[in-house]
Amino acid sequence: MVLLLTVIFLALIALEVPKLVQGKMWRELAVYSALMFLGMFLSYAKVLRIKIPNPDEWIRHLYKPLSEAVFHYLTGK
Amino acid sequence: MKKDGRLVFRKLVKPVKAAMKNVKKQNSRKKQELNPDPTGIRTWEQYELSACLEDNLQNLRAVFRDAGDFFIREFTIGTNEPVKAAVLFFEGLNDKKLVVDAILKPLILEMREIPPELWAKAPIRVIRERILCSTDLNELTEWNQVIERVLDAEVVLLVDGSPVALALGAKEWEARGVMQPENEATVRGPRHSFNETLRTNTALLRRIIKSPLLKTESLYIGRHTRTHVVLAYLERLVDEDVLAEVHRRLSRIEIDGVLESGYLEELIEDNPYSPFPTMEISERPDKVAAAILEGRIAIMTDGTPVTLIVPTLFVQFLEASEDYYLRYPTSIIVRFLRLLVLNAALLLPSLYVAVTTFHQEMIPTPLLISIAGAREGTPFPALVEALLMELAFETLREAGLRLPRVVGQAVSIVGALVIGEAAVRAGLVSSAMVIVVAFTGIASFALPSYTMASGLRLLRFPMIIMAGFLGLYGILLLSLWILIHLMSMRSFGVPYLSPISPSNYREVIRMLLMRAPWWAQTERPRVIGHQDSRRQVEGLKPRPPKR
Amino acid sequence: MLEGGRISNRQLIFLMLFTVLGTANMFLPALAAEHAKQDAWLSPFFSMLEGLWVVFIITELGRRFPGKTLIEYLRLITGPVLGTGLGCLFIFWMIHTNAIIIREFAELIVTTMMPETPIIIFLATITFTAALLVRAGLEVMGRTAEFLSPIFLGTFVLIPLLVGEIMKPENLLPILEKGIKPVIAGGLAPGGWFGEVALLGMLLPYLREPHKGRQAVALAVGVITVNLSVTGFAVTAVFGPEPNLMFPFLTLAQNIRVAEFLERIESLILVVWVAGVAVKIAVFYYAAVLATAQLTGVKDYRCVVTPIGVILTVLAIIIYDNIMELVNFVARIWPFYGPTFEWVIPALLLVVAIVTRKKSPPPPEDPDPERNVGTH
Repeated sequence: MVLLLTVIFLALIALEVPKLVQGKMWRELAVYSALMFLGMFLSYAKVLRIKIPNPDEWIRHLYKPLSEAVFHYLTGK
Repeated sequence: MKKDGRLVFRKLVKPVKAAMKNVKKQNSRKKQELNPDPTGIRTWEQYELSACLEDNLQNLRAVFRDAGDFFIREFTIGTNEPVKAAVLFFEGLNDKKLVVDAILKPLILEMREIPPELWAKAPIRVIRERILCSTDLNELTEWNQVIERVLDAEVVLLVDGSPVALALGAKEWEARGVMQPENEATVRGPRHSFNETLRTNTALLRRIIKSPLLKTESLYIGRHTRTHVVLAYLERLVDEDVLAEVHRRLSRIEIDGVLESGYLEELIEDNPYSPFPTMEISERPDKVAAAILEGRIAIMTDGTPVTLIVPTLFVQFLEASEDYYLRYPTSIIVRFLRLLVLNAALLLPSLYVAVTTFHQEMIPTPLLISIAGAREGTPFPALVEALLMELAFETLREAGLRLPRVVGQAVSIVGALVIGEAAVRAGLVSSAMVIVVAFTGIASFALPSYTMASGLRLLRFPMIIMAGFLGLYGILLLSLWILIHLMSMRSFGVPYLSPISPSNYREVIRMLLMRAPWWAQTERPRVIGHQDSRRQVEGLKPRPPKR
Repeated sequence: MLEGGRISNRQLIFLMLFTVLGTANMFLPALAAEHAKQDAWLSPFFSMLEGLWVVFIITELGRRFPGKTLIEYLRLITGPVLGTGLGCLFIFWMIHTNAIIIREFAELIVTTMMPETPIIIFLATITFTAALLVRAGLEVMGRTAEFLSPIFLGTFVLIPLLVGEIMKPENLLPILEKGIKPVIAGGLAPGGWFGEVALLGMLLPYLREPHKGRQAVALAVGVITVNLSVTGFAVTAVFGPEPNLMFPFLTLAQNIRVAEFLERIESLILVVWVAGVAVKIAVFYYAAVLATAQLTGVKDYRCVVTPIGVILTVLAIIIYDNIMELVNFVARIWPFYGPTFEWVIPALLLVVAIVTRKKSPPPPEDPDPERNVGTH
């Protein structure tokens, strides 16, 4: 699985990076690398079962009181 | 630039290097000499036309050494003071009788009637204006022109004492006549097709469109073949931007030779990686003329009857010229049929695979039972079965195409009857699959355009594979990819899917779903003929006379 | 400008239709019925109000800052530092929401159509499809939406009609049994969906006629309302006030028999629906890509398409462990999380802009040749 992921990422990079380098688009390359690094980090973490913080959970905690209050008012439950 | 790349992104060094290599390669390619002379002495362009006939002939013999079909006929012009002269030509490319009657006879025999003082003043002009009886006569002042004209099957006359040559068109060679089109047959409509001689083809076109606005621009492409290419279009109707774009793309071609319009097509098309053709091809003068009348440009190539038509829209590949000759109700039905056929040719085998593998619940029970019965005992999964059958079909088609006609029939009989029947009997493939594949094959032949049908055939294989792995979802996915690809395609700046998208509902009905009757076709296709959108006057619908 | 293409108002309508309806018609009937019971068909009208409110806010901002996208005027209004921070939040919201949508889509396909295929296949393929659309540019997206919409809308109008004979109108009675509150509760989740037209903020500058954008999207909101309401009506009329179905619309389709031959056509309907979802995901994807490109100042937004695609796919896997978590989030949290970015922040922005009298001059006229010859 790790191997497959690596192959996919290498393929993606090989397809796009040479074009950016040839066009001397360094800013684009920097943005690309940063985002790609984030993506790769998340995927490897998922595959290797490393615990990563889930932004969804924070959001759930953040909005829970409001949600409960509103639905309680509207439905009485 | 190199240093930055290495410092900043160490792991990216490899692509960087590859990119650098590419740049270097391109540079070295540019430096390469375009026309090296194999002998290394002097290339043919490096001579000059001189006033002395002997020098010229010597140079010509040097240029055309070892060319056994090159002839120089030296003679003396029969004036009071004889002047040496020579005609140059390639054997087999000229009308010999015309050369004798129009050049040799007058120059040798009839020169005495020319007043000597006139002759002394400007011999070439006299020959041109008073002696040579030919319609096609040009004065050449450059050495290169002389070589080019001789190679282009003209007869060149050199006269001692003048640094000017005369080129006389007397082209005539063995050529195929104007015959019936082999690939675009019709029941109703003209029966002649283009042939391999460009002049014949332009003449056929000129015979249809007798307008001073019909322009036929000449280009010569190919370093060695110097293939004559003609752009034919109607001035004022053609989109100037498209025309300029065609010029730009043709002029950047540098190639050894152009043997068929297919070379040009691949060199100037918009989407080189697409399975879909972006240029319509035709060998029918009436079809090309119809395209020109819509504001398109025809690219005619010497040496092939196949003419390219640009810009081309997707919907045009669903049209045959006969649609416009037959009465319109018939044509409308045929249009609908073609739409079905288009989808069948692309989707039918994959739909069969998807439904039998993943979505059996969609099939009505009686049909499901009969399909299951037929599939019983076949060793392969539907995906493999479909791929095998498609491959077998493609093999048969290819074999039938290349063989002589008599043997070709034998192949189809063996293929269809023996292999098909035996394979089903032996339980290798199910009969339902044979039916599906055979029908798909026929469907792809029912499309009027061979190039479009080939593109669809190509896409059928990935479609079957997607259906085998992901069912209907896979089919939809690939269809969406194809759709996105089609949406982003352009043919010489014109959106390929127009008028479906960007949509113009009136034109969708008129061009795709229906063939409007002629009295209702008042406008040209908007994206192409927008320079002058009126095709005819309103109200041509025939009515009984008023009493 | 980053985006060279322009879309017509008709194309915008279709894009917005897909943006909301893409997933709404599959998930919403169940969500609305949970609270509103037999009045589920009334709930969309309350959601519509929220949708129109969003359209009003966004187009009003668009009027003050013509030719600028949300990300661009964000920085003009709040200054570079806060603006960039808010921009990052918006991008996070777009990507996160899109990951939810992708996950919803994949879960639906896996539960109803292909239970044996691993979910990652669907996540990856649909993201790839959307990536193709985004790379092809806004113009191609608009045209694809235009091309698909007759098929999509046709299908979703046809299904409620085809089940006409098995409808039991008495299921819809009594109307407003427990007052209006449950109906509003049922309309909250769809409201978040309607608010997704807020992405208009990223598309408005690329309209051929930006000043008519408001009418176009308002029309889209109207069509969506009618469609959802009709669907809710049909579902309740056929299955009663408490259907307890995960995807009532599909169950509806399963009950169709046409001419004793075509039956169980829900797979075909799913296929049409997938095409619509692809456009929906592409719109969110495009907004995120364009926002990222504008925030980082790159010259070509294509370079961020692949990385964001990777992030989307991964995020879609890791945010939920199972479908129940997903449904819970969509029903309880989304009605508040979505509107935060859809209209709360934009409304605040608008207020700040009005108070500080910030405006931007109209952009220079750019010639928009409908056909650009030679650009390919």
